[in-house]
Amino acid sequence: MDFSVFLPVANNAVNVFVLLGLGGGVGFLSGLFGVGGGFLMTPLLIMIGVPPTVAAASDSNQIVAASTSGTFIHARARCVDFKMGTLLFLGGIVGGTIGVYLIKVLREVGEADFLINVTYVLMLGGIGSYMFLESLEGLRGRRRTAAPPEKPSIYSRMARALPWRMEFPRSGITLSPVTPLALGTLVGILAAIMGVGGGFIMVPVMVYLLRMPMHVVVGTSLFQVLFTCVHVTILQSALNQTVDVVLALLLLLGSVIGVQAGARMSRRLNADQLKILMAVVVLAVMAKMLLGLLVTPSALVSYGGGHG
Amino acid sequence: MRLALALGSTAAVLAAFPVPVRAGGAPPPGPPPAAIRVEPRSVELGMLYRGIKVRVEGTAPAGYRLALVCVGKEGRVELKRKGKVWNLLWRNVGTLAFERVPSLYHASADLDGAGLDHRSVPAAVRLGLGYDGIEAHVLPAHADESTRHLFRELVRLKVQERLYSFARLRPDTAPEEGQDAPGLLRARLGREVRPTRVSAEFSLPASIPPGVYEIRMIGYRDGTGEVLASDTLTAERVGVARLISSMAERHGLLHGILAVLLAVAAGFLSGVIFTGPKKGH
Repeated sequence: MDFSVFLPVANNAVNVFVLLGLGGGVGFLSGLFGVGGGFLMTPLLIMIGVPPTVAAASDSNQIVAASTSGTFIHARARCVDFKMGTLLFLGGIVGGTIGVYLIKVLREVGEADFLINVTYVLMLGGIGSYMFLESLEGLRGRRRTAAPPEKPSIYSRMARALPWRMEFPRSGITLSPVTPLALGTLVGILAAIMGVGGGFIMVPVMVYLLRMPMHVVVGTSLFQVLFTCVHVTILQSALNQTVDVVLALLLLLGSVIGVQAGARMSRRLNADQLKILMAVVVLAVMAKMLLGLLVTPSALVSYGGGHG
Repeated sequence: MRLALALGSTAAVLAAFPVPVRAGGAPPPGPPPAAIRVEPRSVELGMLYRGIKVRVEGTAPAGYRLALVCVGKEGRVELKRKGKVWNLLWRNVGTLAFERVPSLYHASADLDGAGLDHRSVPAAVRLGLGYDGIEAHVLPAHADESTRHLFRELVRLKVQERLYSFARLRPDTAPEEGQDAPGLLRARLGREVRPTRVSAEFSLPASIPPGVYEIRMIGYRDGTGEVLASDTLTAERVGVARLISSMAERHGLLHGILAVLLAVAAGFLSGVIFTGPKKGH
């Protein structure tokens, strides 16, 4: 028996259970690590025959559901720093707008796609390797004790010098709102260039630059991803008509269940275990991107815009 | 490899995009009793549509080589071209576009016997026969080798998407009493024969765009070719699928807001269901 369903905007039929499974798997990672999962889901949807533009837009829609669900469960566990998440989101909106214009300029130069892929590989490779090695040391118990460094880094000195320092009680840190706004902008630029929600860049930023505790990071990241994806979904639907609500519904049915399982699992693992798993996922995506650059494609052309 | 085989065999496949024309030579004696029937003639692209097989049956006067083709609306296809930089990394190295590319092209042709490949029947190429015929239809005559190579890659994509296919047609003539020779052979032998019956099945994939598709029966003989009969098939969205796609196309903003509200409600509901009334730690 064929359990396929027709997707009216994607204009293709896909097996229902494949979509539920994809949603569940990526939703699990989303709840576990606080990432939207778009960097995994979009290529998987393309692989099963969904056009790339519809895959990216509909994935944003399902991430809204998964991140709402994830934020809800993390908020109930008091693991969401709403103040920090709001500042990061506001910065992300500014950065996203800058990034959209940047990518427009790059496309006119004709180097956008290549630069996007290379940026992916370098960013993911750098972040993934650092997280992997750092958490591996933590798991082996070799991490240096938390003795304050003799000389603070330039970043620390700059962050401390910024005005209007405020308390973030849920994260247990004090810093100027300029820091999360600026970092949110930076992540927003990168996310727009790379065409993703930015959760997998935001998580390391929160851990290493904002020094937030890992369990608050996951919930806060989901909160920020939620608003980013609401913004993207509405824009994509209004401007490009590429949101397939049937596709999104099936994915979100799987993902809201997966995200709950992931969120529960995340509270059972310690920070180093979470980070090393996240590092493995990031490195796996980096390897896939790198292979895409190195291996001869099955056809030497791919569809651009406007094909029927 | 499969593509190479497909394209190799399609070199001899009969196909035609143009409006019915007689491709040179004198018309066959007498009007041919040609007819074609498509079943179903209407395809509903509803929520349960997952592709469909279309059966085409036709009758043609004896003595013709025959082809049945199903052709979709022609249009512009924009492509990204891939190439290597530093002899190491694959990247998009440019864009290109082809005009007059059919959205769908399935051909089923009588390949038995010699003498009907694209090289020996220039009229067939002019009618869009086989891969060379498709290429001749889409590309200008002065297209360079690089463009021809990229067009071949486009056809490769279309075949992978099951939007293009090339198959073999087996004509069948009702045998006269005491004889079982096929109609074509008997026509060559100069004997009176009954009309040739042909039938073929085309698979329309789930990804076909809505629109009107034309099915043609093309006959060839003595270096000439003509469309003997044609019929149409209409594919249109119906029911919920039509409602959703129409809303997405005409009211994108509202569609986006509703999609977000639906997602937030589903996420919130699942959060309540899975966490229950008890507060977390």
